Amino acid sequence: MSKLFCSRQHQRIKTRAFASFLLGGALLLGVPAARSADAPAWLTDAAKQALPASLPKDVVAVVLYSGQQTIVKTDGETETRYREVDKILRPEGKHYGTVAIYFSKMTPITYLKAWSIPADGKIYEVKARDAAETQIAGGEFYDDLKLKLLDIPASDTGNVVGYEYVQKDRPFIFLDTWDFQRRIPVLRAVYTLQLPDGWKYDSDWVNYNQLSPQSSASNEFTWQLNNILPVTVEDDMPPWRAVAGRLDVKYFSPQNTLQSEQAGSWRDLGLWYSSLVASRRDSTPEIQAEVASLTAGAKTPLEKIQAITSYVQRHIRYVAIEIGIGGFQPHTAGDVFKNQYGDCKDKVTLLAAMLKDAGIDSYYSLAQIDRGIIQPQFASAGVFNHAILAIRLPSDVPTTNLYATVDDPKLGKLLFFDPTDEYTPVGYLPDTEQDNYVLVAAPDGGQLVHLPILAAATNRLMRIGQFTVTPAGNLTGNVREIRWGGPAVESRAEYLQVAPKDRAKLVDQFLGTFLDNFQLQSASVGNLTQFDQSFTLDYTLAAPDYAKEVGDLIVLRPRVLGEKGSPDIASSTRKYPVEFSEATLQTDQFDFTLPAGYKVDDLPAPVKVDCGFISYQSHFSVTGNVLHYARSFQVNRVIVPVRDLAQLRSALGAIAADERSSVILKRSLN
Amino acid sequence: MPSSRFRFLMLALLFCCLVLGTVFVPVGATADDQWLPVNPADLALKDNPASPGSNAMILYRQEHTDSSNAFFIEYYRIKIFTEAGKKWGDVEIPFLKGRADIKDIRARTIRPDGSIVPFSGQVFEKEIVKAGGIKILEKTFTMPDVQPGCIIEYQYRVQYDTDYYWNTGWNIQEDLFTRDADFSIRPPEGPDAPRIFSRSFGVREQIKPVKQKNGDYAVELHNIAGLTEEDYMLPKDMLRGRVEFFFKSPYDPPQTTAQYWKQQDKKINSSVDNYLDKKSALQEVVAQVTAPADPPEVKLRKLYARVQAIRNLSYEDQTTQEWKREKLKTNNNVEDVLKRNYGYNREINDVFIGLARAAGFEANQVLLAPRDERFFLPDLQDASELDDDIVRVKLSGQDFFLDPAAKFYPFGLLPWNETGVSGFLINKDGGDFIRTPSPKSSDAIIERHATLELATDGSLSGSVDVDFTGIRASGARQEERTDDETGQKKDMGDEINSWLPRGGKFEITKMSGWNGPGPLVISGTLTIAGYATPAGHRMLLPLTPFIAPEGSAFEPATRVNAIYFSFPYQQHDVISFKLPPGYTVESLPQHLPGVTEGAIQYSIAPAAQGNTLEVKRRLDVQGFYYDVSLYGAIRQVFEMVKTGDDEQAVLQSPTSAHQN
Repeated sequence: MSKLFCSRQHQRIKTRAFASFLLGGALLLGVPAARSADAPAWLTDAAKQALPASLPKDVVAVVLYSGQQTIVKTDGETETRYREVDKILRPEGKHYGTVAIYFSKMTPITYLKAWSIPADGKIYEVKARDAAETQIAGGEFYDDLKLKLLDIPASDTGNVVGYEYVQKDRPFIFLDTWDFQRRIPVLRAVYTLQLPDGWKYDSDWVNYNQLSPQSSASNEFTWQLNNILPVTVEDDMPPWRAVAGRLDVKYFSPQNTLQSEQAGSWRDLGLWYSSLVASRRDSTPEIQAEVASLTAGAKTPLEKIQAITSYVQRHIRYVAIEIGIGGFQPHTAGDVFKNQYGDCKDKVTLLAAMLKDAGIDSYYSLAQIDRGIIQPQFASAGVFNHAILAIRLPSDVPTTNLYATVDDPKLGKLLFFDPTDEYTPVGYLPDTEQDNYVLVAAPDGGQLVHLPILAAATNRLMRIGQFTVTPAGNLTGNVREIRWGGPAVESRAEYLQVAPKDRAKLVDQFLGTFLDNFQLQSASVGNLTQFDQSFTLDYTLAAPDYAKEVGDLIVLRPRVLGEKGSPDIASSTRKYPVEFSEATLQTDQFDFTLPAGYKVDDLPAPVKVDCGFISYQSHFSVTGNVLHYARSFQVNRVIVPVRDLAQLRSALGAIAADERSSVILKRSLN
Repeated sequence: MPSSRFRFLMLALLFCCLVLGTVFVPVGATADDQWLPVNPADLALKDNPASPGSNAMILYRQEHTDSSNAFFIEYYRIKIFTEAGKKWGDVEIPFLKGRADIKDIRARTIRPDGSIVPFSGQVFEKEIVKAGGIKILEKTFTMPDVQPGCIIEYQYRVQYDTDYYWNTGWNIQEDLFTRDADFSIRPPEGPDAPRIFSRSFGVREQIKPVKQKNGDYAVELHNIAGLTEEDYMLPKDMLRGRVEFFFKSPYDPPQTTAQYWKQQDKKINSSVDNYLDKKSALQEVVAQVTAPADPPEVKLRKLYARVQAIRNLSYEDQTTQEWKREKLKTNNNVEDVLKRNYGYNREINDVFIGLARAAGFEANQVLLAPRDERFFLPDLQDASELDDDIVRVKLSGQDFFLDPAAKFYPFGLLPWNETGVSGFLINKDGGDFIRTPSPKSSDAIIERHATLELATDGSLSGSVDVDFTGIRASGARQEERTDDETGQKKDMGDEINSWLPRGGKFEITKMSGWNGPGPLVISGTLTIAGYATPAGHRMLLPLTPFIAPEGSAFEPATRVNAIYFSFPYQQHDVISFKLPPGYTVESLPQHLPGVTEGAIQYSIAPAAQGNTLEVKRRLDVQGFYYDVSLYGAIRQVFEMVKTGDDEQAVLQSPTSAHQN
């Protein structure tokens, strides 16, 4: 099972490129001599399978057979045998001939073999010793998760490749997952769960129609699926696990009450996690002294919360060191404070300890950094990969600007805060945690809580510009941007992650997206590190030839800056919903002082569109020699289902057209 | 920081161990664990005075290499200025297990108030790569209490196995600015110790380590700029300032650079001659392929074509098992290559040399370093840098530089990374340093012919033919050589779609010329929703639907590095817009930018005739390397390109025409 509670966003593993590098290295170092071998019957049988005539021409490979057999032993240890047979249909499918398996000390690979059946029928075979291993590049600072890579010879078009491996696991939680849906079609997939006598299981089908297993007398259950369609990756689609089909399984030992049939509820998972973290949040004299210092000037509980959350968010460096149970269990608050670093659960631990010292209670909350993964109907610890904190707000704390507050009938007013997110201040929630679930680990059991999606008005971008247009079409002007909520977090991340000397380049790059020829004359950011304040950005620019002189006309595009979307994202061929990151309200107000001797000859018509998910309006007016352009764009809902994409496409098309529209100025005859 | 340098070292070492063979180094060593005194002014420092607005800077760095005892010691003192600079608190030091180890790691954080937090955490060992019995590991540790204003410092020793000897060097330039640095090296000791030489690269002036009283060579450096990454720059590792050391046996006579290369020439020339020593086989092929009456160039072209037909194993991506099963044999001479009809790059080029000579031409091997990897520096006296080769043939007093082993490159065209580079011509006279011809922009042309129709709603549709010629065609053919038609369509379609504005879609209907030698022609249909924009009763029509990608790269007002394109190139466009019925061109842009002289030329010219607007556009980037002092001018030209490409024609709708 993969590690829990410690993933940070935006960490991606470039497995393919790295695999090539490693395997290239392995070749340099010499791999074993050629072997003539026999392939197992399950592989040769699958290889004989005829391909459906309906397969699209561009499919790069097809899974002929995929098998997963999990055997659970009486001590809960598992041994899972994976088998797969793929037929490579196009050169781009060659990479299906590389087997990539994650493993750790807790999940060793005890057997690995792979074969290919080329057109001449002479089978190739490779084994575990031919594989390369690597620690995950770009992963956490230190963990024991590794990747094994095995390159199968003759992974060429028309050939069949197959592999088999056995992986053991000593799980902390009794879970299994069958991920049967892929990026390529799967003709047959089989999952078998073999339990010790008397053990039971519960299962949940996610993103796929439910199917009952075939069971045997030996407490073995088998599910089989045929002709599974591939998942097509699309821009702005929900996360993979929110759309791909899978079967989540949990199983129970009759002897263990925590894993009994009644257990495995969210309540019990909360209890389990509470027991795991018990005593980790104990304070130390050093922590107490720091809390006293931080809250010395705080007059209210809210001020104390603000001081402490800000400290943990900004002073405690994110460094993840996860070994064995360390993937689940945080370091002690004392260690985290001493080192001034830790991962998400470490930061939560220290924050909880410090708040406690300030007289404020809180609960660990297990989270998932992607929306749409957690299934409320099926309690499972396997869905969490992050930890945040639920702060119990004293009843007298006003929640006016604390948008991340949930008033739970049982737990009271809870303010959720993510100390790992470097830029989202207390009161707000990172976008992917909105409209998502967390498991609040309260002392008397866990409770799944739905986190709200923050209102559009809380994620605001206001752009105000004053420009002057010369008869030659030159544009000069100054712009003020005011951002709060999500847009402020986004800007702070962008500006704080570069060196101060490079910040002007960011404005340059931004302007360069919209202007062909310009000079940035000045730029300044405001409240860059005051996270509880609006982020401001002021700049002055000159754009020679911005307005195009054509005969006695000047063509002026009033949408100087900013782009609100493209109809491309809502293409009619899409299979999956469009997901916006957050609800937001963004407005532009631009005034243009027109060149002397020119008057407005043609104005674009005002635009007003509202498809429910997004709304947009723009209009022009002229006062004397000043042209006013105002527009507003609002995202109201973050998920647009496929059935509503036509409306979204139409709305985005209207916005794109408005963004391209121009005002025509004509030289006045008098 | 140590990371990239050590990764390089490890790979280099791995290479040395496996390929070059290795020698010894005696005895062990110890590290000095003393911390240098902290200057209060450094604690108070708020920014880098030499480069204001930095996230962090190296206040001091020391690297001492002990060649006798096979270790080197690193010492870093880094000042953190910002939150983003805290990342330097995570330290990763790779090493090759069994060949080296990281010892004596010591680290501490000095808070802004001067109090010290010693590093007492765990040093982890990560397995970066384990393959074929080789393990590359990484020691990692993270510094405590890293906050803006603090100083972090750490030191460690890289101890190599004393049974091995290695060439070494100093990476004097880091990604961060370095204020003060001391580098030193203790040369090998003893009567049999090799002599040590050094050369510096990536720096304006040669760095000459000075011999110290204790026999060490040392140099003190100050204010070393950090490396800056920019678009269109040389590969970072080619720019990095460094000093390379190399060793010579004490029993070899001292050599000048000229002597070294003369000796290399003799050795290589003899090896080439031996490989070619199959005259009758070569003559037989010449007789088969050419006719006595063929003019010399025709003969040469026929031989080139014959050699290009040999299966080039350098382009094949097979596992060792597949090679072995195919029972491919080692070619011992050109006759083997011709008989078996397979070989690697150099073997194929050698066959061409042999055939050319057999046909009476003067033909020589030219060794070079491809410029996508490194530049050839003769002073380094390292022939292994020349791992690429082409052929020079003399024809009617003219030099032809040819690479028949380069698949899909026709006679006369070299791959871009072999153009404009220094090389070493092998002959019987001691060799010659030569420079391969600079690439010409006419050797890489994209021609776009678009016949498009504009609809009243502003959408554009029609057909586009794109001709890729020269390097553009050969490069595409090489890249796509293993792909099928579907993959080729997708890749070429993706490239062409990347030239279009939002809403644009190009779908390929026909491809031709994949096998050369003429242009590679991609034809298809183009649609762009909302291409022209309504402006009241008028419509504004951009002059070209093709976006120049270079513009955004040159937006920043200033630049640090020289501008480096892979190769010069040209774009020729002829775009014909058929206007909607009743629409006429009311006016065309009056002051279109154009550059008709200099190293980058650009023009765009619209002409209206009836209900058709035809736009001719040309971009000619004639050079591939421009000194950074020319950045302002280059930026200005590409701004003009952007401005010109963005110009619009004003169309008059039937309604507005009527109103007028």
